[in-house]
Amino acid sequence: MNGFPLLSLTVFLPLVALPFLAASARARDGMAKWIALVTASLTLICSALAVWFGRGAGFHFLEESAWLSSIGAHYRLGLDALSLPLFFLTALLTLVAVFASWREERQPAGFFALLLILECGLLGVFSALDLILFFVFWESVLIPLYLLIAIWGGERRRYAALKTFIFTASGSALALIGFLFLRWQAGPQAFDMTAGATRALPLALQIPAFLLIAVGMAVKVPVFPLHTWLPDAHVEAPTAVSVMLAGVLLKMGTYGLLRMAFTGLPAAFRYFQPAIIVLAVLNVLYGSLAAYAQKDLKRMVAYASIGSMGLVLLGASSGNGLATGAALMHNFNHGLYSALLFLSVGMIYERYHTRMRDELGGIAASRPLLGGLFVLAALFALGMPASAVFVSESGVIIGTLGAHPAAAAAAAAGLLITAAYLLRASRRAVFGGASEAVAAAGDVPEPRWHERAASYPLVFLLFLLGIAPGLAAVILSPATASLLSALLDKAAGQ
Amino acid sequence: MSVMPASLLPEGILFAGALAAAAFTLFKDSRGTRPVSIAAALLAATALLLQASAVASLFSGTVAIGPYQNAFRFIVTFSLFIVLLSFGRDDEGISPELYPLLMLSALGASMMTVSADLILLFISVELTALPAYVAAATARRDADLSLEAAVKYFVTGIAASATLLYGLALLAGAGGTTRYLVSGGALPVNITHQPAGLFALALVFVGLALKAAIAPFHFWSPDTYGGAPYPVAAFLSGAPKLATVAAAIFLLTGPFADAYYHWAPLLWLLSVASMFWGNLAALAQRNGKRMLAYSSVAHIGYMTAALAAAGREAVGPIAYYGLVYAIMTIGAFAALRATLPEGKAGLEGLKGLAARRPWLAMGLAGFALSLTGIPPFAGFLVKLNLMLLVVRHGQPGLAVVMALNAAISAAYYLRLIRLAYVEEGEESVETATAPVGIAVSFVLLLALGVLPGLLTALLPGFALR
Repeated sequence: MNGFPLLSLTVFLPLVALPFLAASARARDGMAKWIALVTASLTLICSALAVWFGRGAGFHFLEESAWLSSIGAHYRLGLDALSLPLFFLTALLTLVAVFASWREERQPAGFFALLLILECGLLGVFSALDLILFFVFWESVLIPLYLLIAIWGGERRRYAALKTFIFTASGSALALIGFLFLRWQAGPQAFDMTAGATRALPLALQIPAFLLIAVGMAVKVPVFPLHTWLPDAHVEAPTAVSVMLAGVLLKMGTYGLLRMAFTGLPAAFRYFQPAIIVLAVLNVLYGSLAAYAQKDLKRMVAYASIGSMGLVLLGASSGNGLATGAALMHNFNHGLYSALLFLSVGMIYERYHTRMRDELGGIAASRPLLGGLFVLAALFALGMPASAVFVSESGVIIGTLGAHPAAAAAAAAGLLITAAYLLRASRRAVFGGASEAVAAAGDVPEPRWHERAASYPLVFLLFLLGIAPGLAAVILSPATASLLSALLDKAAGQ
Repeated sequence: MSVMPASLLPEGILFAGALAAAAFTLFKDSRGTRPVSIAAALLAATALLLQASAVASLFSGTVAIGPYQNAFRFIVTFSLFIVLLSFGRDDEGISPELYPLLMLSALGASMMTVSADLILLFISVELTALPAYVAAATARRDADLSLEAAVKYFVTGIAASATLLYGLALLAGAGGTTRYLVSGGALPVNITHQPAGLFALALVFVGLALKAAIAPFHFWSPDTYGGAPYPVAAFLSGAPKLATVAAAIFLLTGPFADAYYHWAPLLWLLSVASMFWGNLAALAQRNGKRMLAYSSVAHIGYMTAALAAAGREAVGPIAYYGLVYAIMTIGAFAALRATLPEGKAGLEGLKGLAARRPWLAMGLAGFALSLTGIPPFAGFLVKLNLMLLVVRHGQPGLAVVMALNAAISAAYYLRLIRLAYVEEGEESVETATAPVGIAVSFVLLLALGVLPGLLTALLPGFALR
């Protein structure tokens, strides 16, 4: 695969659809989804090729050309074990999102165009290996996301979209200052994410850069107490956007933390490790407790994401090999099961016009597939054995237990709460006798073909990685090693 | 020496174009003025590109031409071209006399950037201002408002000129010559030993700050922009303003270079004030023209902040910023003009634009994003460039102020996008045809944002550092 610009091709492939979508807006609205489907499928094929050929340690598919050479920024793309799963996840969930919005009737051409622009930005974020290029892609995600929520969202969409925009834009402004600070202190190599020029900086210089970058990324994760934009955004966003938001956009934050703050500034990472562990545990507990208190299923799932991201942070900063690898896997798994949860909540809402747990009930009796998908998604989310989530969650807890028993115990308590609210939601919303809303809805369809096409691949992958977790380990182990060496100071000790 | 040296060909073309356009206004059917003016502006910009790296000293040192001068001359001629291209021929608000007036003003602005002599500098400043005063008064609808705009512009302009003239006279006296840029460098005025020199600095500083509308000397600009016709407001925020910035740069880093520690802190303070004042005041505006006027105050603040922090090294990055700023601001004025009729510049009229006119809405969104500094538009790169420069000169705090201001400005630029895309509007709103200039500006901002090296290769005076 040498010399072939696979990554550039994949990243910019979604944009090829734009002129066709513009043309379809004039001619026939029905064409738009097919154009989006073909484009998203081709992109997924390309990213699957990248997974196949890009295994193993180090950076693959490196592309580099002069871009802003005068300020030291290059057009540099590449994938390694840290970014590869997320690159694939982006392409997969975009296709899922296309299926999820198959029946979008309001300006479908515009909707799918923005969705594909979003995909391009996300793929760019995960494959950029230059800080400025990374930032360009990072920022270009903001506008399509804003418009997707503000135009196609629910009742309070304008407020939610603006809040999301302001939170993330302020965060990224901080991160940008951090990048410029690094450029100032570490010289022209600082923007090169493969060179590691920042790793050698003294601790006193790493700390301010770490704080700026980590806070900027933490908004996106989101880390408590910077999370308040997330529930609003999720509740107002259309299903497809919720899928992208939880599945991929939050991963921009964890990826940025892992790549730039943790492995890029290892001394500061070690310095802040206790604080990060405390924040991670707070995230788990806060997310679970807040989710427990929700009556709106979509809001519940949104808060559940905050808890899951806390678990990822905990594992990644634990310093234990098992927990670190499991955290990276959980980061990927969360993309799959949260997408599945949002899909099934979206299907239920579309049919019964309510997302309130207590107004639903008895779905399983009349629509077993519809109810069953929600229950299955909930079981995945609470870490059912034989699912990939069981592997990753138990890995994080067991791995953390040795060095940080209190943190592991607190996180385990959070997982118990998670199980409690997910089971309660399943019992009230899906099982039992038919509620008023469900009875009144009458003859609603079971999941349609495109809804099944959106959810089944996620179910398949979650089972596959649960039964054969070695597949994930093969891909993730080099990333685990680099994270561990940052924390355990192996590099400096040699 | 020939009568008309080749290095001044762009100015010659502008002058000839202005005369030709003026001649066309004599006919009953004055339709020829616009194409003649556009052709002349384009020719002038092309002529500049062809001799981009020319270095010359003309008329016994009265005119000095170098890469930076060429960069600013290009900004002047090209922004004139974009203005002429961005406002429609069938626009009832534009009287044909506007074209020769704007061209004469641009000629003055261009001469301002190449002056190496204090007397020529002052004459150029006046040549820039006088036609602009008249142009501001040419609105046919809301003539009262337009007249008020022109009078305010005139009164402050005269005051600024008088202050500047006094300062220049003192400078000439202190330096013993009116040539302030000589071949191979500048003539330093040792003002630390001469109270007159320090006084000259203060007067020149205030005069130019008034002309460039830097806070707190910006008070006239919202009223002037708000009342003047759209094309005039767009023009004023481009060529004359950036030529003033160029003159300020050449004076401050030239004869006043030794006094860096006198003017830099002051300029730093005014820049920070401009950014905050401009952006915060723009937040409160409900009128599109006034909002863009305050936005201009903030953008000049970003540029002068870099000058205060980095001195001479900032010239290339500021020029680059200036060009991009001019394109996106003129584009925003044009997109507003095509939506909001003259006299009804209330932003409410943007509601539902995306549904009515998707391409125009996309153009407006692009300009708003670029003004905010969001990639992939050029506004991001030039702002990043200035911030990087400021950080490299040991002022990360100033970079934080710039980033903070970009975040504040996002609120009101984003409001344009929200109104156009998210809000629903009533069906029939009076709209003008969207001129081709909007598309040209949009494509340029995108191209420069993705491949910024294009411009630096053509014109070495524009620099990314």
